[in-house]
Amino acid sequence: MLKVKKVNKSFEDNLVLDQISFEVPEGETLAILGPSGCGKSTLLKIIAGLLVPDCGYIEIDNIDITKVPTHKRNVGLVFQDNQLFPHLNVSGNIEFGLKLLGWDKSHRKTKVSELLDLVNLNGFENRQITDLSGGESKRIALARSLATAPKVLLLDEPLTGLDEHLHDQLLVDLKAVLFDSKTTTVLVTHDKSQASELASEILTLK
Amino acid sequence: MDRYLDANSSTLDVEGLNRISRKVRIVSLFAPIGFLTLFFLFPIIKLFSKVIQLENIFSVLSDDETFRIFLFTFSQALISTIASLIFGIMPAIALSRYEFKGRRALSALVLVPFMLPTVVVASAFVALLPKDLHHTTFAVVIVHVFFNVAVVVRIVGLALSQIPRELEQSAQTLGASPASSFFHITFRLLTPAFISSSAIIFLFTFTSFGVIKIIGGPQNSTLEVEVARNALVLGDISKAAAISILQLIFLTICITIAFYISKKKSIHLSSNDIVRQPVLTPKEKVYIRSVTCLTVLTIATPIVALVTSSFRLGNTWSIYAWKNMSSSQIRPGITTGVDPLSSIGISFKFALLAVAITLVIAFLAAIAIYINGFAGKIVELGFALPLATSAVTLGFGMLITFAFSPINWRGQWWIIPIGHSIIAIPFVIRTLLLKLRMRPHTWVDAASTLGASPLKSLWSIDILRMKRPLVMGAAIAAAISFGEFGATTFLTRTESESMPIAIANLMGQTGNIPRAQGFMLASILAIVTGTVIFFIEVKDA
Amino acid sequence: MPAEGALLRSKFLFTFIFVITIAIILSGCSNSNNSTSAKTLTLVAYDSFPDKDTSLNEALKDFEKETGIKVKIANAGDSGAMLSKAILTAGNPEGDVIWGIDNASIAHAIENKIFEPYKTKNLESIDNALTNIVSEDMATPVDYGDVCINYDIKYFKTNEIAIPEKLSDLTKPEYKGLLAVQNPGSSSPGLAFLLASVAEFGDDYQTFWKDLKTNEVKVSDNWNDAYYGLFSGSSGQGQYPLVVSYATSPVAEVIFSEPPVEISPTGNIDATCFRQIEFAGILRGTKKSDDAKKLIDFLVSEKFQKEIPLNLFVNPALENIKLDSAFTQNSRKIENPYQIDPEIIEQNRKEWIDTWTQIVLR
Repeated sequence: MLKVKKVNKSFEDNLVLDQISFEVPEGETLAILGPSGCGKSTLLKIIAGLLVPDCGYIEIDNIDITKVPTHKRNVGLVFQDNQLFPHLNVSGNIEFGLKLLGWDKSHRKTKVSELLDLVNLNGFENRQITDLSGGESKRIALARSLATAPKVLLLDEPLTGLDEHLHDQLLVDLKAVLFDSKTTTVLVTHDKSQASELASEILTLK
Repeated sequence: MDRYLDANSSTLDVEGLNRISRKVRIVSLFAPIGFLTLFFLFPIIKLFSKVIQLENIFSVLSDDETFRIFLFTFSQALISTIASLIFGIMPAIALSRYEFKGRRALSALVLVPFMLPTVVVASAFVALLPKDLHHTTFAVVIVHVFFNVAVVVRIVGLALSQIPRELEQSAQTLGASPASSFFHITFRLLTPAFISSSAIIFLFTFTSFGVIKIIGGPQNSTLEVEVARNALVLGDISKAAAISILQLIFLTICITIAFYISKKKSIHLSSNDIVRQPVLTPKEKVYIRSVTCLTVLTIATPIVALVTSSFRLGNTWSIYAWKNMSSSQIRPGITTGVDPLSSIGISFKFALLAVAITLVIAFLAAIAIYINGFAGKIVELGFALPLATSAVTLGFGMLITFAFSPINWRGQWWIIPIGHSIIAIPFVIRTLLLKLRMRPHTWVDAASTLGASPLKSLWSIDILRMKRPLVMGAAIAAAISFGEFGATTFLTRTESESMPIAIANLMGQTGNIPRAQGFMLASILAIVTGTVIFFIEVKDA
Repeated sequence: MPAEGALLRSKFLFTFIFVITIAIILSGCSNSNNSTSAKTLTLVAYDSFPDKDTSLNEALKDFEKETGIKVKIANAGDSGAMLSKAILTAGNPEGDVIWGIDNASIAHAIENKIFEPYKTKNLESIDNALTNIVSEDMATPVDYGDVCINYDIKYFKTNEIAIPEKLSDLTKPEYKGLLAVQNPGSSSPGLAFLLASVAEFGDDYQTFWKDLKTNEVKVSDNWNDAYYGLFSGSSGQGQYPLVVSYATSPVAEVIFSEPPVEISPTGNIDATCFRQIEFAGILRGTKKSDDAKKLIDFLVSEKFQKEIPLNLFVNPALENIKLDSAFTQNSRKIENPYQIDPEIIEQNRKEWIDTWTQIVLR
């Protein structure tokens, strides 16, 4: 489980996060709700280890990981604009983390098709990143993050920038994915209904 | 909305092609081709057909001496290119990723060496380097790196500024260490920029002339030097042309390969620049500080040496050269025959015209390459040829081509800046193309939906988006024009002695006054170019 | 999204650049029309020939006053570039008269038919030693100078070493590592010094250079490097007290120095000098032969010749020209310099240079 305790962060005298504390139980989803610019993304980056908090600490499974570098935390992060690697195709993106873990080719292949199944994009292995639609990109980014079986999954505005039809469909699928994978998840959004749809608990930032 | 261009092709899709008016395509294709044909292809073909004999080519090919020179030329160019990349990547990262105090000044400083005439810089290094290093390949490489770091910083830096940091961060959340995420993601995405800058630096150093003559010493000769030596000292123009055409063929093959790979590896990224980050962690601080110190030190030392030399008369300090900058007279009735101040004016006149011609032709050519398929490829290759052509060949070709009415232009002053722009255009095209190829055609879509005709939307949006590379292109063209020595000396001039030629003439005279004046002119050149770039950088913000 | 203003601005920018280009090009064209009027002659010369502001140019203005013919100077690069260009454009030359082809290449120039024959009417007044070098109706000798070993006076004084007297002295052990020369394959004084060795030793010049190499002769690519980079007597900070340079270099050291010095810090070794003679001629294909003839006559007239020494640092070709004291004070007339017939130079130059390169650089 994930524990965030009394985290403070400021950028050049501008206090962005003030004494933030919360817990997310194993397998549960927490939604962080708040207007843009309230420090939601900063909080995700701190959990992921991309930013260092001024004070406070982060625990996963009761181990303090505040000083552990990002790549050793096993925390998945899906950026708002996905940040798929443009020089790799779909399977190259998804298996990126697996390669680093030293998985062999056939295992990777099986895992990739499994994950594509999970996000409803069967047969997309050899597609180019540049050929994907917005919704497809989001699904691939999700699959990529889940590939390494992260202890905590962080989603930054997962449904922003999609048109209404895609939005609704992805919402349903995302809910299913989170439920199926039983991953502890923190998602950030500014949409209250989305938050209550996806998460068991909601934290509101000001 | 995130439809990008097809990743493996630089052309618009069919729909896009049809929307761009025929007129734009024709003008953008034929104006540059016409210019290139008239001022480059025609002259060199004329020269080759006049002086080359087949037996000469064969004898050059089987000549051990020429092969030895080729090997030296090739290896020093290869080493220089790799070294420039290695030394250029550090400041490139610092300048394009971080915001820190003095960034703009540093960014301007890095470009200054590129603007200085090779003759001057090489002389400064001769004074600086320990005697043991003179006339070594090592010294040649050092000076080449000094010149070409700017190319890496600009081209790789531009690409780097369009690679979002979040890509590396994504990789880190997937388990890649910072170093491995840089290598697996950023480094891979920089491949086209690496190839582009390597191609330019390789061409530049392969055809190096001034640096080799001064630093390389008599034992080390490049093909370019050999062409000049045969044509100008031994009077064997036929052999010179034979070497020149072989160099041209070899480099054309190299360029074609580079273009092919670069296009294959070309990746389209977001067209928006990422925001430069403030320096936060102690590690970053150390990095930025050491890069800044090292860069300032390497670039400033030769420039300071130049300026210092301008205050030296023999073994004493003197402001004589600066006090008398507008006069060639030394004592009543005795002059150096070189008027430093007027050479500055002439250089500015040349540079202004060279910049204007270069920007117009390079912009049209870049558009042509971008919107036309096969024809575009021809234009791209065609405009790379001047880089592979030795200056003597181009100068001599122009001399015999523009000799008859109605194109009897060889005595005109403006033929010199045209020569400069022929050399500058390939560089500027590459700078523009890098940006153009990052441009999703949604730009055109967006403007079209606002009611602009496709023609208007292409011009307006592109020009706005292209502002930075265009400014950069103008700086490159001005630099080449200011510093160009080879082709200029091979065109005959009347009362139009540009700065590099004035410097060479002054330094070619005996006595401490002309020498100090030569260093003074070189200092002015360094200071003026540095200031101009600095203001461009500041205005760019 | 582009605002309308931005759209206009970009259009304006382009129009602006376009107009400037056209304007500059047009102004260039109109300039040229003025300058190519019938009564203008173009004198092609090497880059170090001053194109304005000197007494040499003043003298040319006197010529204009007398004859109504304006003389425009076209600088065509160094002497090698100038000659190659003249050969390439033979028959359709860049100018009407050419100045400054020297005796090492004059035969090459004549062979390539760059000249229109003319025998100047001032031939009588020219130094006899210069007139029989090549066929007089082809090219006219206009000046001469010598390439000699220059030495650093102070070095030899403080180290109490005798100054070498002749070429063969240079291979002696006491002068080991003291001499800097230029590559004859890329430098005109370098070639002159090689020719001096050929004139002295004949075929044994190869032995001389082998010995010089053993004696650690330093080779640079051009005069500039040798004189300023290697020579210890100049304002540069070199380490070699002996260098191949011009007989007039000591004069220039005095004239172009600030603060002024009375006596040159350098001197010549007279017995090492090779004579360089420069020629002028009418370029074949000129449409202004008659005017060009007048100019050739003027170039070897007293009025022009007396300005040569302090502007070009060579001796005038005309006999009985009174030399300026600034010029005579630090240079003696070199007696009996080495000379080789231009025809022989032309036939052997490539071979000599190639052989030299093999001996010294490999």
